[in-house]
Amino acid sequence: MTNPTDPARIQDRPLQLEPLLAWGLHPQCGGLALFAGTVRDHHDGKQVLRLTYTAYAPLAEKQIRDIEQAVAAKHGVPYLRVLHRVGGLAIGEVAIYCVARAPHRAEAFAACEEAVDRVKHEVPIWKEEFYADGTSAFVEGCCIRPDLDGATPAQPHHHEEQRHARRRA
Amino acid sequence: MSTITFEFHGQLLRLAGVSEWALPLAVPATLADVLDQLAAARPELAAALVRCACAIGDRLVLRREPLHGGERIALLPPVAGG
Repeated sequence: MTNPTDPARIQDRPLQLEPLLAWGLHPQCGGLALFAGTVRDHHDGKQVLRLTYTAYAPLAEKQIRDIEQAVAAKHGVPYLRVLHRVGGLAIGEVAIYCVARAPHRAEAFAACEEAVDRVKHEVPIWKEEFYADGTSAFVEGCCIRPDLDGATPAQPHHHEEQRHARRRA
Repeated sequence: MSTITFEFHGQLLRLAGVSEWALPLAVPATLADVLDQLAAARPELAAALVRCACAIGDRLVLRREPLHGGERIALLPPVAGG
């Protein structure tokens, strides 16, 4: 990370929270909202052993920055950052951090929630779950194609699974 | 005759079994045209391609946009971060 105030938004190492909080900056801010998404040990009744996240980084980096900027402007939030992990993650590891700092808590909470929702639904990141029964599946989420007839990108938001029933070798 | 190279991402990488696929490009052609060519060459991908966004570098590309040859097109299936 060359610039601590502008870190890579997609990272393949454990995410560092401390620099993301921007302590000592933004004295006008009295509220900090933090969301951390961690890897769950189950999905749809199946025991999850581990996950792999992959991303298309050139677009993901740009889109996360665009989302931060748009959501920060909408809620009047001076500081908003989202980091997403890629690679192999164990249960309990942090997949995503979002930090919003604002003059008051209401806009910090709102910006944090909206930024996380948008990153999950719009940014080219994929999650493959590996189950205790030896199979794996991609959690299929949101189509982000901008010109799909009769469909609004990023809707609906329920996540189905696409099973590949791959056996571990 | 130049080429177009498709990169597979997410679940599409599993379906395709390879990380990329190159096709000859006969200009003029749009992104939609070369996606049709890809679907013909790899019919098992055809249904998934409909729900893919396409990107060149950090820019999303629409189906109607013309291609000039030499592009790398990332195929981005439905996303599920977080």
